[in-house]
Amino acid sequence: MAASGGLARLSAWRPGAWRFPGLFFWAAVWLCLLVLLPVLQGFSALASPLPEQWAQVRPLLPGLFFNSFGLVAGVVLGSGLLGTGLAWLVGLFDFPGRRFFNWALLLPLAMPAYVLGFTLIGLFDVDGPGYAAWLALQGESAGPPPFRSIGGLILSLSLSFYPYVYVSARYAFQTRSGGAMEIARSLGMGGAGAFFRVGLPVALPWIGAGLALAAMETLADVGTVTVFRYETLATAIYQAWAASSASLATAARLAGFLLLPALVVLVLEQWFRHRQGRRAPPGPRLAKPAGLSEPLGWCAAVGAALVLGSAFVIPAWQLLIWSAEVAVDELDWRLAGYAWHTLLVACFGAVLVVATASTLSLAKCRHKGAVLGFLTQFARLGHGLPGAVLAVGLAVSAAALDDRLAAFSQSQFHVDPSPIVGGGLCALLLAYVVRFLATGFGPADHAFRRFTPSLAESARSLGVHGFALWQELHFPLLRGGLLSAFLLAFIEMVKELPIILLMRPEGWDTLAVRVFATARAGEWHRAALPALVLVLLVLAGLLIHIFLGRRAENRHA
Amino acid sequence: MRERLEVGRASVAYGTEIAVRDVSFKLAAGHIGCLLGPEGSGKTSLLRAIAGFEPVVQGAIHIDGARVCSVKSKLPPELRGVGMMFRDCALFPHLTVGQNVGFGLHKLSREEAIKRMIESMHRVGLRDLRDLDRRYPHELSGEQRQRVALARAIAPKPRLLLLDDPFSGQERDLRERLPLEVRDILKQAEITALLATCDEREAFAMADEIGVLSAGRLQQWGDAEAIYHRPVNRFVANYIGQGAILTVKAAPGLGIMTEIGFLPLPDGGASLQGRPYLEILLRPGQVAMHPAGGSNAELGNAEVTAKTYRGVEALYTLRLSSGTEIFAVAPADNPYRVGEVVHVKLKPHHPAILYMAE
Repeated sequence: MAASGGLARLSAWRPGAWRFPGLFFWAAVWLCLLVLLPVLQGFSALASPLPEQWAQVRPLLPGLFFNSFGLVAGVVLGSGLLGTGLAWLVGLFDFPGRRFFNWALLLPLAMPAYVLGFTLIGLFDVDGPGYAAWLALQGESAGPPPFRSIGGLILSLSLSFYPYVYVSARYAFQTRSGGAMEIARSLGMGGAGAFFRVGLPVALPWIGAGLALAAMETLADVGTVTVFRYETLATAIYQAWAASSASLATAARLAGFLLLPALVVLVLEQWFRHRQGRRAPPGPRLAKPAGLSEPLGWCAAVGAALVLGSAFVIPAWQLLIWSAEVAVDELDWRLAGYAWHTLLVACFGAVLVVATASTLSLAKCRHKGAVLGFLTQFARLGHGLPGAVLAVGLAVSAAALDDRLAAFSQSQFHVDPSPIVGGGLCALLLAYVVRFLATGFGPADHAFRRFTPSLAESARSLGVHGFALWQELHFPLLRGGLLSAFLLAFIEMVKELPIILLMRPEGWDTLAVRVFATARAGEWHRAALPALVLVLLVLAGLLIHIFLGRRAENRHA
Repeated sequence: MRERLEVGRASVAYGTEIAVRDVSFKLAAGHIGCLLGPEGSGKTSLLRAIAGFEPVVQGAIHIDGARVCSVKSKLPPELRGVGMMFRDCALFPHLTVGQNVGFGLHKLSREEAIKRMIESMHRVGLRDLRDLDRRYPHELSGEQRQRVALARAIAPKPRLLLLDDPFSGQERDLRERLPLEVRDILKQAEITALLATCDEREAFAMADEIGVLSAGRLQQWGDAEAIYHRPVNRFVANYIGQGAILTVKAAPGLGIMTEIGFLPLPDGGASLQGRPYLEILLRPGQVAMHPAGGSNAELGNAEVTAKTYRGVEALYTLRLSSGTEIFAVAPADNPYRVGEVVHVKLKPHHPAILYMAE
């Protein structure tokens, strides 16, 4: 129980008492180095001499950049319109079904972008139900709908990523804009003017942060764009990586190029978060949503239902149908194996994330210094690194380390070992920790911050100490937050594709990898079953998380 | 005097939950009114209905004689000329201080708007605040923000200004100082205002008329003196100021018999016909203490059970022989100690002991 020891020391902490920076400090430093590693790797790849195959890649580079930027611009626009619009409706107005849509509009988070992507393509494929509808609409002579195009891709990714904007914008509209808009109206501004001149600008830092997340995900996406046969910087890294081990240097250099826009988006995101801090704290009174008149209210409900339907309900239903069609052939032990691998990686990774997040949070509580504050902040920036960049960076470093180890073992023991760091799950899990630390840090830190030194002191003054202190006080207080951190990290890791695709050991296919492989080959039916299992796993995690959150809320109310 | 605001039998409800029940009052132009009541008593709901953010489910609201809100129709907030100021100031964070103050002046010409902006900045005591067009709300101190919010609210010269607990976020000494200053500012600008607060000192410092709200009902409407000395029911008596409520015996035709003396009534007690027992409110200022011999078992004697210094004076808690506790104030340097027995009497020059309807 390392954490209990830490907490005991935390409770003994006195302001002003300087100690030698201990375990926590060095843990934070190591984590920061781990985040820094792929970044440095990327830059050094850009600065190092050109790899052999670069001559073939170089002419493609402007096109790749153009494709990536165009896609990001489209998805930012699409998810911005969807997310902000829905948040505006749900956050500020009352209409039929509002309480349902309030949480149901988050359901698309349970469906990875590449699953939604191939399902939508399949729907509009020649034997899909969408195609029939298209023919009925356009007349028999019309060709197949051009869904597998940049427009379809932008639509598909926007439907996947709008929840990031929606969550953030809804929070801002409900807690900040509502009150400000009322003031504006009491100063003689009409309803529309109050929204555009006050409500929207006040919420902008939150909308911006949500958009930055959507942009990050778009830059990092490998699965969906591959299914749509769209070439971006991220897919180029994957292809170079998959081609041969000799093109590792090419992949590393491409990763360096993808790193640049990713860092720009990351800086933007942090800037928006900084701006959020400048906004006044939320008022004590949540803005009460205004009632919409009968026809308008139904229009709002239909609009929300349309988005929810195309982003989640219809694709999920289609997955069910396809799965049922192929269940006889495909439901076998191999599927169980994929699911087992997914569970194993996600559970291990999530436990590591919780442990790391706890360590960082404790470190922040103990040494309230500016250096550690910066380090813990920095260690969480890994969420802005595209999975492919992270994977390449860590793999290259791991390979270098393994070479050293091999050389050392050969010279000392005359044994040639297999790669230790890079070969197995080790590097993969490290990459997961870097990528998803921010996801788990929020709830874990929230739990630890509730745990003030005076709490432990008052328990001790009441005669509770030692293991009983841990059992009676620490554990019950931390349990909820840590579980929630675990679940959120778990969900992300089940969905994650680029890192597992690039870093998995031989034969270690997970559900995500299987879905990608079959969907890439255009076999929608065969991709459906593992995709369905994957979505169910994520949904289970999401529902437990929501249920626990509700229960905690009720207890505090 | 003209009535600026008239609330007639108004009720406000959120779904099935009724927040304000059947409230009626009038506020004259130029006056400052106050809604005083505990959390959840319906003050904010009533203000929001007057401002136009909530409909009424019964009754009507008139401003300058024109109906702005009834069950059937509701004038939108921007057309009512009613300004609002919240406890969290709610300055627009994306606009400069100057843009904030000028926000309500968008219908005026530019010169006129700037003139009005400067005028209201001067009024609220921000004469020296420079760089209005470059500074943002987050760069200001809490007190400056409060003043800017007030300047923004009074700049368009609203017909009525609603202040929802505007001082609650401030430090203690500001909470003592600001209400008096805001009263002066509003009076100079000739702005009619309605304040909502749960702090009686704020209400006494600012308001010409006070309405005490409890559980959505208006318990009493009157000036500070009436609320303090002539509460109409037990809630108002308990809620405002310090005092003890005694059950006493009426002597019809004469007055009231209390444990600590006889209280003659101006009408000779004619109004007490048919009420053998009633409750009276005893404010600390109405009780006089004298040195006494003997124990507190004697009639008119009391034991000092607590003494609280309040600066120039001290508040005494006294236990009468019947066990009833009453309060008295005396200069802090007087010699009575806790445990001592004193003789208590009603002060002859403070006959305003109140009898209450049940």
